[in-house]
Amino acid sequence: MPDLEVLTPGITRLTDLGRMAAHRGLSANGVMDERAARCANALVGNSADAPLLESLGAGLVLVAGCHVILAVTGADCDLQIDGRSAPTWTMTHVRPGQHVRIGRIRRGLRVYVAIHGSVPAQARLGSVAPDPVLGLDTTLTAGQRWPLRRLEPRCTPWGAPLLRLSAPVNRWNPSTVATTPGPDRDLFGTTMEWLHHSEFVMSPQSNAMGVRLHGAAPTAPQRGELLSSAVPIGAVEIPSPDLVIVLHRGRGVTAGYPVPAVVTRDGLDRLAQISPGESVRFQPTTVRVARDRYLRMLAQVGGLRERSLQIIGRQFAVSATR
Amino acid sequence: MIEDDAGRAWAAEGVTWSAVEYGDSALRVAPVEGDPEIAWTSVHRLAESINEAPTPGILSATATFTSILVEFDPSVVDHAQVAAAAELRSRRWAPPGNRTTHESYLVPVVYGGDHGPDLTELAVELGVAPETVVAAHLRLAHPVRCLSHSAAPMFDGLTFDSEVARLSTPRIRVAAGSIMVAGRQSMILCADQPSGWRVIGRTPVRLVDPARRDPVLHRPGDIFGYRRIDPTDWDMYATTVLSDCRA
Repeated sequence: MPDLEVLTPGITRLTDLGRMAAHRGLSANGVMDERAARCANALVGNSADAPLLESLGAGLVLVAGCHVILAVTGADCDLQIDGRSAPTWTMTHVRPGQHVRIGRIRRGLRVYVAIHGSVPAQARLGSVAPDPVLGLDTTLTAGQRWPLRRLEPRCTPWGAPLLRLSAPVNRWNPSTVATTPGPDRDLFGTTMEWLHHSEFVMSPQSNAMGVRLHGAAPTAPQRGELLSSAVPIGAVEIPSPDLVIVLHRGRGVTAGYPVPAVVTRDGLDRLAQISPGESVRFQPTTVRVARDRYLRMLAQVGGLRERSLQIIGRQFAVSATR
Repeated sequence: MIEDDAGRAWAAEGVTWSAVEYGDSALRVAPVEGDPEIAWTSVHRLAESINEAPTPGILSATATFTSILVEFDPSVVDHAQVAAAAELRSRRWAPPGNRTTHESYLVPVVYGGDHGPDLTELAVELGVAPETVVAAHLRLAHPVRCLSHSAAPMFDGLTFDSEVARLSTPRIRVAAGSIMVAGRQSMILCADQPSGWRVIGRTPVRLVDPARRDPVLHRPGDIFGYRRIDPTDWDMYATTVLSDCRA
């Protein structure tokens, strides 16, 4: 049976772009680096919302039980196939029996692995993203297996399929994170400019609920408890004078802190790849500029998917069902 | 309807609304001023109306106390279009007589002891007996104001002389079903999570039933009442879910 097996799981979960059920009190819990995840799925011809793997750091090892087309994006890592280095951010053909290892991370934090045809997963309320409230835990375990689509290379044995399709890799320098104004910015008065003039250092306490950064944060007069209100992914909270929290895709839907700024979608992707100890600067932008940038990214990724499907169609015979 | 750099404003059904950008993928819609109770009713009615009329690109509308967060896909719609959709819904919602009915639940609770580790200390801080704290909570038969972190229903209406302070060191893990209080609010956790709220009791009933198509049953506006049970009766409720607790 054609399948893919997890030999060692690393710290990996299966997820997708996230659950959109904030009105039920549920967090999104989707991928943290949206652009990298979209590229990974596009490179293997999957739709953007297909489930894929998100690894924190190195260590994931998969064994192909059949021909597999996959793509690894996100952090700059040493991808190895049967012990030999292979390029990331590109469509890759893995043969039956080969081992795929996510090796040492050189820069960044989160690695995405998308598999052509994706893997079967239980969706609840429109997403496969994990959620403790729904009892959905998608953490990979050693020995876990997924059935895959059967792929047969059309080429003769001496000519390997030519998969030439890559995506532009993440830009690493400079580490600037764009923000748009938040509804409570006036509470912070002239200290607002500190957000854009200070350097902030990534804390090791960061996680999917919130990315934590230390630095000279804007201050607002103490007003006691604010009534909770629903906050968007990317909302900036300042719980103490030297701590900025950027709520990310695991965030709880409501919060009681004033919100001086909101990180853009592009900024969220960057924060997902900043390691503890690294520093970051926030840069003000407008909603219009942020939206244009996002649409450009989507257009670029959309083009990739079309080309990848053409290439796969030419080089492989694909069964309709697993 | 007024549209300027600050967003959009309009009046409908006796409420003046404003809509402002809240990041590149969300809009905040709120009544401009006025009675908080009217604001609460209005935001939930409008959010429900938006959620029930699927509009391409609009992902969800989440109402809390006096505002709505409308999340959308910026590749499909923009802020102006979402604000226009919100305005349209605010003019078209069903008359009060057709409102969605709200449920009433009666939830069994064990107070104090291992299930309510903060009860004794909280009572000391408030200068009352622990039984007074329990009695005050048992008296609550209040509507869910909104859903908080991880679908926890949030209530207000605690009537102590002073607001309940949070823990100076939040707990890393509070068990699902815990009844927690802070300020003048209380909530019931649906999943294990960290919290600085004071835990005064716990219900053995599971509020979320993963077997259901829509696993989170409780809605803003549903009434929750409480009844005290003995710790020795805990196991009787091992398979009880919220739908078993309809009052």
